[in-house]
Amino acid sequence: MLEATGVSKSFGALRVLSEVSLKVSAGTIHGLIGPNGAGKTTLVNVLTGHVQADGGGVQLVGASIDKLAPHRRAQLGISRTFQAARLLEDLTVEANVRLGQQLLAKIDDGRLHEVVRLLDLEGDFHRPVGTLPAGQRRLVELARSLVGRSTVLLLDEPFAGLTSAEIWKIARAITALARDLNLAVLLIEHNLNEVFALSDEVTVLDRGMVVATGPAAAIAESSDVRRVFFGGDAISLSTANGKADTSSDETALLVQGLNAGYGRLQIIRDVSFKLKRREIVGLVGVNGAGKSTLLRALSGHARVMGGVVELRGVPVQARSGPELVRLGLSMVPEGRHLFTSLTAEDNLRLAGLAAGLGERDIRQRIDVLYGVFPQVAQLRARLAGTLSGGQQQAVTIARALMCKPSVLLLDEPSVGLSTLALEALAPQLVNLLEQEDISILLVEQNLGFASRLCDRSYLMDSGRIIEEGQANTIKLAWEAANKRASNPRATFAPAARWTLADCVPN
Amino acid sequence: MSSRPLVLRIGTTAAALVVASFLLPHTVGNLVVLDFICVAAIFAIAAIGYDLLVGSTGLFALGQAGLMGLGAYAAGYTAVTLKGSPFEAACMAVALPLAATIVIGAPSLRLRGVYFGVATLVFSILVTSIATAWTPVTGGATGLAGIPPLGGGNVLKVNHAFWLPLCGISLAMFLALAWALNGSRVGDAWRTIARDEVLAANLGIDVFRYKMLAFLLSAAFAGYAGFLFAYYVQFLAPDAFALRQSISLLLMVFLGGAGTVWGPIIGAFVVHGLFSFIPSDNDWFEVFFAVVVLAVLALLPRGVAGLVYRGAALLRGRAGRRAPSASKPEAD
Repeated sequence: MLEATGVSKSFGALRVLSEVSLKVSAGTIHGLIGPNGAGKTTLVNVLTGHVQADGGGVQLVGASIDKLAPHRRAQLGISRTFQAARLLEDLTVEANVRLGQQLLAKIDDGRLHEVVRLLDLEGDFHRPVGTLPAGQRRLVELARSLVGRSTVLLLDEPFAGLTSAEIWKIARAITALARDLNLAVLLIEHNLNEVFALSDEVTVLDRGMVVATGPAAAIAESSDVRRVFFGGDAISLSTANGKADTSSDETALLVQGLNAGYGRLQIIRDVSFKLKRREIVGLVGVNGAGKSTLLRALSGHARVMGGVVELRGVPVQARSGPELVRLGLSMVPEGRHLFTSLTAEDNLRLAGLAAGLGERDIRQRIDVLYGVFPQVAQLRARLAGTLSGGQQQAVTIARALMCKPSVLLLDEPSVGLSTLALEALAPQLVNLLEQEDISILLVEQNLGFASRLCDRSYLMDSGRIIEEGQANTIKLAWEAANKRASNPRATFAPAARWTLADCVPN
Repeated sequence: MSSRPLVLRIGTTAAALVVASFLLPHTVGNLVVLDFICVAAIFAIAAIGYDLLVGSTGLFALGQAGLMGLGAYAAGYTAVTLKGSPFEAACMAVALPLAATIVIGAPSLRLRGVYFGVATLVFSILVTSIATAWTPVTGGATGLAGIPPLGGGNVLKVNHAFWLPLCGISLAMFLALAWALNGSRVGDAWRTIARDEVLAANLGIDVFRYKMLAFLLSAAFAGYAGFLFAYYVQFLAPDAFALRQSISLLLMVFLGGAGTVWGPIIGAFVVHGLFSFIPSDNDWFEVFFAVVVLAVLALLPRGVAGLVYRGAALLRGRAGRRAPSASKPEAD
């Protein structure tokens, strides 16, 4: 049905996709898995036409659609859902779902109500979408995709951040519809268990390359998958393992009973943890566990609804982002966000100006940081956009250090980095603790990277911290949590597919 | 939503407007009031068109007065210099703005961001400048006089028994057209584009074409309003269509309620009333004008119509708890 052949794409110096081929047949579910930064979403954007590939092509039923605009591809039946549901917030569920029938010659109320019933949305049919919880919003988006005349359904992480009951509901609907409507479904997911349970075929993507592709059962047993997802033996960071314990008993960051979220939506629930001076602590968990929201709440970019945050003994939970930076809390955002048209040094200089430093202080500070990151010193005159992912990450971290923070929040530094770049980055982070007298909170999805760097870690799930401990404890808890999330696995077995009728309550 | 079908609601409203416009000249004797109603109705037509662009499609533009001016001068030139009939003048008044729209919109509507807004702003300024400079055609700064009266009467005394029904029928037609479009899938497509262009494209909506359609319609409405204005006032001066007039039209849309059916009409009557009964030659007028614009944007983002609709929804919500809504999906 939908086929990508040899698709490549680079953003600046960052190669996001290289020679990716993929085939999704009608009536089947094709799982696409890979860690954050593997290029999954970029591939979806190439398929929908929102991103132009540098090489390769996309065919729909054998005909090339490379030259077609996104809306033309949608008209041909390619429909997608988004990682963060895109809905018209002030309209009702009904109005949102009806948008999916924009292209039909005649509104098909029968199909509409069937889909709404199947997804159990009847109770919310007249509610404004903005008041719905995350799980229901996903269902609305899915319903919108299903009421039209789509033949290809691209689902971008439909399960992220959902409860297992919600996952089950969506999974059931997808399975039934793929068969009954003969849809070709591409299921992009982080959570391996759901993917293996639901998919007929699975493709594993890592750093823009297809690592493995084939029947779900075969891929599930493949060692490539374990390596990609659990770090495995791909990364060996000897320096981190043998590092001296630099931490002191002084508390750098104390979080107690923190509740936070966006608007009225609470995501972080009763989170408590401690970060000691000169300590590096990991915060791990699957996508949607609330890690990034926690970082945003700590750095003043999400709404704190209750609890205490103390920075070296000073309560700071009500402070704004800029105030927090002055008080010594600095964040390295995911995705680096460098000014690509400025040189590496100018990126640092800009951060110094933003922190309110004078010209001479900036000069001194930059020189100190060049001592810490010799690699950055060599690249000082290069434009940030021309640097590789690893080089950019080093510049980003140096930039966050311009304001002399006492606590550094590091959001997924491993994303999009090669093994080599990761190995170069790790010892630099460890050295920072001593040289800069700081504490680091490292948010990671790459458990291997986190566990080799951190003395201890916290595991997050559904907005809560569910485990604290050393690498092994966390790894076991992580695997247990993943199994729990996919409890109905046995009933997902591809052999026992539902029919549409099974899913409609009597 | 009312349970009556849309066609019926549009039909009765339009008919009521037309009937009222025939009755008014015979029941209201005050010429100032009749004159006020005619001009406000003309501006209302331009404002309804503007609302399709700004309210429904969510495109910020500042060229509506420019388009109306282009239409007015096209009508005036056809009537005075080419000695054309009012019908020919009306055709020219709609055709020229449409052509201008294609020239402005084709490149700038493909781009996201401020390009379109800036292009329309520049266009608006250009219309005033050309109207001032191109004396042989536009009469220059002294204005274009000699547009023949329509429906009897003369420059000093307009025949309101003719003009009110003309304005009423025109307003009813354009209101019905805008209402029907907003209530159709075209309106759904516009509103989706206004809120999320990426989503719109993924739903198969040709974003550029729908934006262009909204822009073309707004130009046609503005051009026709310009034609009426030219024949009603029988004299055209460049500053009648200056940038301030565009902002004034924008104020009509926002004060009345952007994206609502009645908003632009309410807005046109209120704003035109505000400006006709307050002396505008005072230096402080500009300050007053600016304060009104800012106050409306800050305090009434959804306008008067937005307030009315919300009030009605509240009332209906109270009634709804007593009786179940009629449009629930059938459960079996």
